[in-house]
Amino acid sequence: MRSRAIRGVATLALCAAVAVAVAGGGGSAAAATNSNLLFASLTGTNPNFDPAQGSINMNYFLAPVYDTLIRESTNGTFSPNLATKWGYTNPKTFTMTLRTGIKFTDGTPFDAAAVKANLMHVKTGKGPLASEMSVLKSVTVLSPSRVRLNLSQPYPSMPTVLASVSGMMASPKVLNSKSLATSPVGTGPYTLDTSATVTNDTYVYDKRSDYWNSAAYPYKQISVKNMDPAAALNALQSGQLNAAEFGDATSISRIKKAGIPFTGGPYNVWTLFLLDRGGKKVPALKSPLVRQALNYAINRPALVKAVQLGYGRPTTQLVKPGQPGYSAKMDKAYPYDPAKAKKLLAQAGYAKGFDLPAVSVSIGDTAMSALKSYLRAVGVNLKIKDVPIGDWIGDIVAGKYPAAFLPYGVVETYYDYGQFATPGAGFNPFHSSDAVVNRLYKQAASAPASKRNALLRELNERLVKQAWFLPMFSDTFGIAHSKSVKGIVWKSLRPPLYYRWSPAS
Amino acid sequence: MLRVVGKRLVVAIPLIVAVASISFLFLQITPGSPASVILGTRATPEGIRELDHKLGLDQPLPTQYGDYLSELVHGTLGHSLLNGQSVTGLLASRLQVTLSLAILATLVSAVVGMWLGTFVATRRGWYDRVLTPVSGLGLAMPSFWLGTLLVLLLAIHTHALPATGYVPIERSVVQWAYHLVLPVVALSAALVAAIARQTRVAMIEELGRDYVRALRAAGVPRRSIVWRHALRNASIPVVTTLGLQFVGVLGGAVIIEQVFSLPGVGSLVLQAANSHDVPVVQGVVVASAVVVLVVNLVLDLVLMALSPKVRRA
Repeated sequence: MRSRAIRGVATLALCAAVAVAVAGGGGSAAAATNSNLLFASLTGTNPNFDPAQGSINMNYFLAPVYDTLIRESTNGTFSPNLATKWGYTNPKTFTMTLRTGIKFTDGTPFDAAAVKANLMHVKTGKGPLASEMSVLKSVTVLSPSRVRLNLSQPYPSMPTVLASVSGMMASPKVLNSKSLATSPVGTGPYTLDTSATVTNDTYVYDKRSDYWNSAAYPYKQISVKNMDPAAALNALQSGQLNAAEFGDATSISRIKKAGIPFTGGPYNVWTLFLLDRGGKKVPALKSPLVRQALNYAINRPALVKAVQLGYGRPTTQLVKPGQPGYSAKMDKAYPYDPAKAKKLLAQAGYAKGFDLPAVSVSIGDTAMSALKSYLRAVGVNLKIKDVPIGDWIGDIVAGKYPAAFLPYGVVETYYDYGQFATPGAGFNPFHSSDAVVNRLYKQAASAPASKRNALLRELNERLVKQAWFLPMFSDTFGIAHSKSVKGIVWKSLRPPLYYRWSPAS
Repeated sequence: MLRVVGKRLVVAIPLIVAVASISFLFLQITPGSPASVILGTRATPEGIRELDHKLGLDQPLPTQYGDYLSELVHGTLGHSLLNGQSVTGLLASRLQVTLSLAILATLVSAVVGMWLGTFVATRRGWYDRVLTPVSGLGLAMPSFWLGTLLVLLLAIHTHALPATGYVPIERSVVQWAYHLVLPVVALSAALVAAIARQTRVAMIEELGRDYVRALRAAGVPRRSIVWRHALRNASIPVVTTLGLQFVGVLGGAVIIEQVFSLPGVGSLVLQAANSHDVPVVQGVVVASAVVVLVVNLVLDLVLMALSPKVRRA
């Protein structure tokens, strides 16, 4: 009996071994090769292929099928893409000359009428990017290859906007069709292979043979998969993936330890937005001295070490190094000085401290707990209200809380100031207004590029000195990739994605 | 047997409507706005209101409920709020993965667990003393932890098996099985332990019964007594447990699908819940209810086949 049992176990083991051997011992249908690029997106976003409903997080999925009008290079300069020339003829008029001979995958020619249809579609689409086109009054078709954008006010952000999802061109024939959400029709280097795609999980793109800039996209196929960070790292280490985007400190730490190449940089600035600067809900916040005291009360380098495992950068401003408006000296504006914080609070009449309600979400738990301890040490009671992610942004913009935790990633300085520094901005729900800020913002809008950066920097310094925010640190985002891929440069989830990425051999 | 199937179907329809209605109401009172999630950091109060209107989320609750039931009757289960994709279509593309995982894990645990339990029950002694702590270990190991450990050992270090991914069975049976080895092992370890323990107890009881003694006295070979007679009777409670555990395995698949990045219903519902895509979550709840009803029906039929007592009941 015993020998039969042993024979049974041996047979089972043999069957298992044979099965593995037959399966190829490590080979996988999804293996990364020199002709197939396998990329993992960890943004947790499911794409909507209608650019009007797109968002910056969907770039990884949209970039293979859509060309943008303008290409933004990784050093912040712009180069031709579907538009070959562009510029402001005056601060309220933006003109573009378009590439000719381009067709959408449904055969529709790409021309000025298509650009007009797309931009107006984004403006009226009620999607996440509609605000980027809010100043677009109308579009005039000057000729099949020339188009003019008429703006209601000066808007220097237009090249950046047109280099991102808002500038992605879909066939005008399908712009109002429901099918566009899942079946993209663009002019991009790849087409979506719907038969191989698993919606909301893996998107497979096949290279177009007639693409106008074919050499810049050497891979025959690109697969983009929504993955959990731990699974993506495992897949990368076992050779199943070419590249994946990471943004959490634990994964980055593992990546570094495993010696996997990683290209990245600062992205979100983890900030407590001090929203109620008029003191409607919390009178103490009206005083700049109080807001400055809060900035002196926290030890930013210690927060980076504890919350970001060192993969972050202490900062006191929302603008990051290299971006227009960044001021290096402002990063030294608020060193950790609890004694000074207490002194400023006493000067403002709040020696005994005060209660500060703030809205947050689970991702900010560790940082907010640490922040709470630092503020308690100077007498300020930070009362954190954790809400579901679906309520978080809505509660902030509705002005339900005097302060809000928000990791904010500035992409284009002028545009983003319009999101949080102007009286009508979404992230300024109490409509805080500062004459200097308003003047500089207005001047920057119509100033020539050579003078705009100085104005934006002055504006930034004003915001830091007035302590409108309590920034803690910037986190790190980037792309980890196998040594089989070269040319990957990360730039804040924005194009050029996949552009000039190529096999190393 | 046909009467049993008919009875079950009659009960199933109001049950599914009840499950759908309860899930609809619960999800309606869950805090969070899909419009706010879709608009993200570009949200404004006006933008949220406009998008709510566009998605029909500002309609009165009875109207939304009526629309939902109408969709249910037509078998479409609604559309994703994020990209307008049919929920039925989304589920269809994901069910194969989750069912493959759950069915294989249940089969593996049934075969290995029952064999182990029977083997130990017929030998006792030190086999018995080993089974208890080893099965305790199996029960105590969380599937995600075991999964991570297996990936580390067999995928990252030895490259013997894939760390992630899924290949549809229609594309390649071998690759399908190959990609499911680690997830199935991770998911079935605890089940094997539970089934082995239960089979052992049931078999010890059966082997002590009078009919076994009578069979022995009649000269029936021991192998036949154990595997044909005793195991058949001992398997009745085990099969009931397997049916219940299959439902548990569907729940466990949510985590395992994340660990192995499998495009199943678990990862679909997790993404949908995170983005407040209510129609997708509701669709998954209804689909799960249907699967549970089908499993219960199959279980009843198997028990009827195994036991004359159940057939007569």
